Amino acid sequence: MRSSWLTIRRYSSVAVILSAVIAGACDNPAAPIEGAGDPENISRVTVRLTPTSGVSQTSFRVDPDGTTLPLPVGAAQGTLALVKGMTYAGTITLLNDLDPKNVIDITAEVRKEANFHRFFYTLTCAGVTVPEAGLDLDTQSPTKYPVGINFQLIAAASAATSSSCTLNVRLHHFESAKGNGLGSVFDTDLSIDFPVTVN
Amino acid sequence: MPNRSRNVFAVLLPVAAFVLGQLGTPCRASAQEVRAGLQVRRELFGVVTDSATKQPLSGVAVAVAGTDMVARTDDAGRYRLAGFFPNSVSLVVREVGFAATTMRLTLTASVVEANFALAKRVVQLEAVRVQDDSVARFLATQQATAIMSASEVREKRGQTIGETLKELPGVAVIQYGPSIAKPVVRGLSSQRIATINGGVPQEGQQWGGEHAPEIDAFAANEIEVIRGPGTLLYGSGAIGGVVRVKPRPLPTSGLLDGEVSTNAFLNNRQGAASLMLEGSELRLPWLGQLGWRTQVTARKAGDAKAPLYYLPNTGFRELDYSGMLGMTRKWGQSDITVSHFGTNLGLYVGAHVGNLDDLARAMQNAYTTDTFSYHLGTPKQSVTHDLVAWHTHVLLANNSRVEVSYGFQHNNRREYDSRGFAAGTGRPAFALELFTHSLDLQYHQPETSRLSGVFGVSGLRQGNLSPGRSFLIPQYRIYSGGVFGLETFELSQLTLTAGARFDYRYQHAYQYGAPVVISPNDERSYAGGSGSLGVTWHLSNSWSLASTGALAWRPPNVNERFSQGVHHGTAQYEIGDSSLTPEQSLNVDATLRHQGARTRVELSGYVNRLNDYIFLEPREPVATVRGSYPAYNYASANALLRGAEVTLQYAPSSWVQLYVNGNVVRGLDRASRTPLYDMPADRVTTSARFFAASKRNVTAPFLEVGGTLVRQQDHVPLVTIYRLPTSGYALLNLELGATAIRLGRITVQPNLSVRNALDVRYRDYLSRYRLFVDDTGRDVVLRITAPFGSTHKPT
Repeated sequence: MRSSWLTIRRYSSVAVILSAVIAGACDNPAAPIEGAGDPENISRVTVRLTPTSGVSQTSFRVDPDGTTLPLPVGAAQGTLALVKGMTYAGTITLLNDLDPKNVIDITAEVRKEANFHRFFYTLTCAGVTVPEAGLDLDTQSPTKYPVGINFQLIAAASAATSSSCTLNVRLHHFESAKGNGLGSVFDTDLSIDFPVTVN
Repeated sequence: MPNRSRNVFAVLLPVAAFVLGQLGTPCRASAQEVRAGLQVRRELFGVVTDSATKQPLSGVAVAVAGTDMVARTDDAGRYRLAGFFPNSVSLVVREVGFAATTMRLTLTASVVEANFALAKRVVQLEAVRVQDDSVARFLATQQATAIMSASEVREKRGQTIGETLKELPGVAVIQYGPSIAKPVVRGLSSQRIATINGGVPQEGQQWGGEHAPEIDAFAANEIEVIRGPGTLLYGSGAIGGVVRVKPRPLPTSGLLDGEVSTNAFLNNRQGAASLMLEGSELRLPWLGQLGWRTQVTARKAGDAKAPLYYLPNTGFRELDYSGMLGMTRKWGQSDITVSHFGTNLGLYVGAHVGNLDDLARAMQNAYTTDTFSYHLGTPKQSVTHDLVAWHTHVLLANNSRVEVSYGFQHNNRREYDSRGFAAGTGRPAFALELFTHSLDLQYHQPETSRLSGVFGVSGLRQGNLSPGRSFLIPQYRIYSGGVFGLETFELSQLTLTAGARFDYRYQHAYQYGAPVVISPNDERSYAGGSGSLGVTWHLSNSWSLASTGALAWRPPNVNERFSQGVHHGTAQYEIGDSSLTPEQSLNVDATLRHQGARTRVELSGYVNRLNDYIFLEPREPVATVRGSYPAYNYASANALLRGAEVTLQYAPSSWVQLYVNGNVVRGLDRASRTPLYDMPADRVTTSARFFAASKRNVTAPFLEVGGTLVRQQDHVPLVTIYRLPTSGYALLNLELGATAIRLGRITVQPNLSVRNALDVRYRDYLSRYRLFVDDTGRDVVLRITAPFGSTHKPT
């Protein structure tokens, strides 16, 4: 049996050396994760409307854990108080401010990928519109199409008075170049309502 | 002293055999018989056939009694043993389902032919597979088991290992198109099924619905599926069943042999090829003569096609390679396998949706195309799995032995999103890396005519890293260990088996580093016992009745306790529950088997009572800035699974074989009396195979006509946002093949099959794309295997 054990031992030592090399592979889960957390989370959405004359209107909503569940998005802070007959220059700002030390401007990311994104603004307020012609454009060639980070909001003089209508903002994200941005193959990056009054 | 010198001599013999083997072909060597003591170098060869059907039997072990020399038959049923033999030897041939046969030979020539015709015996009872680990023997005796032989695997080999199992009794698959197929055994899947790859428990990220076993479908020689708990030998977890994928044993003869296998799938224009080379006469300094094998597999598939359209981004690419070295000596056997599996697979774009509006839109107006493409865009997965496995068994006195298996696995999973701003940047949305070391030690006690048994310990160390930018599950560390014992008593008509196991598991989930994710530091340990009691009653020569009662448990996995995130391709948020307690299962099953001259019957029924069964419970959608999301909580309930499988095989004549298999599973939440989610639909598979007479160059050609009938799935939970029920469907399948066709100097094993020949539109309940698109349509599959080398020369 001695020679047998010799071959077993020799063979085993090869296996053990091989295993030891492998076991050296780093698998320490206790080490903290570099750059953890999804910087693409949108945690704060702000709509700002600046009238041709008068006071600008701001409303924002906070999602306390970004798009990660389970915490639900909070109620809107501030109401967009519109005046009939006024035209507003609008901007939307998306931030990831979950880590106060590392606030990320997601609007800039959307601008960078303007050819894959498009904002849609729809109102339930009668007589208030966001015309397509007022949206800023992407960089597709030869034809540029709307992105809508900046937009124009028109409250007609004939608009109905309302104390509780809404502005719905949606951001569609396309897998491939969006064309005019009206296609049906997209994911929704943003879908959120802001309270509006019209007087 | 004389004893030692004989041992040294015995070790030198194979070396001498190797050197002499180099002098020429066996025939020439026979002319120059070399005397080495009383033993002479000889060559034994022959064919093993089924005495009833006259068909060759492949993969059958032919052993030389009193030695550890074993050869296995090739696909034409041929075996070859070369080495030093005394003037008189006994050959023992054993195969599951057949009576063991012993033939005593007086050797006068140096090349001797010995053919065997095996008679079918009762069932898989007492089936001893030489060189196999003893587990199969126990489980095959009592539990419902389906075995795919090497030739069946070759005929049915699918695009993935999961798909290969699709038509076995009691097995269904969760599919994400052709690229992901996850086995479901008696209604249970994921961590509840242990997948044993070459003796090592596969440890990938097996928990997600879209995480399929990372195993090269071409490396599987034989596959065995055990239905019902396998926790006794495979540890807590395997409460649903066991899938054992066995590579072919290393060759014990031949200088260089090989096999080229190619599969072509018309539906997704897939080409797959595998090259395997092996030999038994590799000599390394210090280690001596070794058997070896190496295999490379590559696969490229494009978009799958449903009858009316293509499913964009469902293609995949796979590259796998492996190497194996082993030695067979008088003391036993040892081998090392190193393998790599790598796949890049696309997920159907249209199923990857965000909020509820997107989901409704995708369901109503599915995204499809009319043009085929090999392009792989996002969403996609890139998964690699590396394995090093080392097995040794050492033979001790009286047929007892010690077996040691060590496995190291590194699973690296990257999931690329089409959504979020990371899309298109080449950065994965999720990344998970799993490192696992496992060790298994078994002692098989000396066998007597009445008693056999195995005792063992096993241990596992696992670490999970989440280096991605998004959170899905935390990083964790697991240590677990188990002790088990299993005894089999043979009485005249009864075989009794009793076993017990104790397992301990320590689980440490680490706090996630980002401020947004609420995933705390958590340490927990679980301990529990498993037990089983089985009896096989040999009613007559052709009938047996087996029954098993088993208690099993499974601790909750890290994903069930701490998941927080979206699953790609499923569009669902999953939220874990850290307070979940272990699942407990009490499973009772019974199997009636009959093996007649022309008929084979297997009837199985089972009741599995699960306490604290963990499942995904739909909850109210959660609102985020992106809109509302469909969300699920991990919850537990007391459940009841019941079902039956029937398999009938009948050969009315030597040229016709009829086959029917039926499966029914019912899952119930015992408290609410509502059906469980995700249970397979009732299914019947049937076929008729017609053999033609073998011609000079064609062995056993056949034509098979088959059908798959699936009843509508209406046993579904009431509360759900998906329209869940699916309609029934019927598929026609055709197959044309032969055991071997000789083309000049080479022999090929061809198989041409057509699945869903009528191009029927259907949606299977377990297809994850069923909410959006039809399952794949007609597929024409050509499989060609060509063995070559010294042991495959036409005789």
